[in-house]
Amino acid sequence: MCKIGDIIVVKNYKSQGVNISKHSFVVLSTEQGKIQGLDFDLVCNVMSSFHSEEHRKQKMRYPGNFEYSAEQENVHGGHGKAGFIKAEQFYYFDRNKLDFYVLGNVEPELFNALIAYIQTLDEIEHVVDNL
Amino acid sequence: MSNMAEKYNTLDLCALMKKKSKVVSSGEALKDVKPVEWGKEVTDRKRKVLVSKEKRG
Repeated sequence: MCKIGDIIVVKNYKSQGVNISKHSFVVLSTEQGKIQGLDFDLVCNVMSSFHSEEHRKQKMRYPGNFEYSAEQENVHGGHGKAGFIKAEQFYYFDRNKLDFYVLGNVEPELFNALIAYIQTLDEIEHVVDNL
Repeated sequence: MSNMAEKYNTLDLCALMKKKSKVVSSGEALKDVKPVEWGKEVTDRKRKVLVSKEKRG
């Protein structure tokens, strides 16, 4: 069970030969829907760390990436490093087929800033091969 | 301190579906993603992680 704003980690899941385990996702929506004829009830963005400051600069040149910066970040239970959310990529899941656990959550202010940012994007990438 | 009663806004999926879009594979989408390294207590599920926009004292 999860709700919007939750951070989830997928356990032991392989999709099309790609292991998506250990990746953390922010839950954007738990509404049911259909995409390309496939049912979903979970839509997420994936979270990523920065390798280095150089990596951060490279990644943040890309408009689809939403940073939670070191100046703003407060990650209770985290690693103390900034990272980013790939706001332009939507991962679609069917919770009946997904083995995951809730790691924590993003607070409303940050979540709402992410949602507002998504609304400004010109293009969305849909990842549907996990359905 | 953040207002714990603050509401999570709803994502308007219908509106977003009208944007320019393309389908990508998980492999393509995750190729530049470095998994977040949460603390051991979190990965051992002894405590939850909380990511905030505001800096706490």
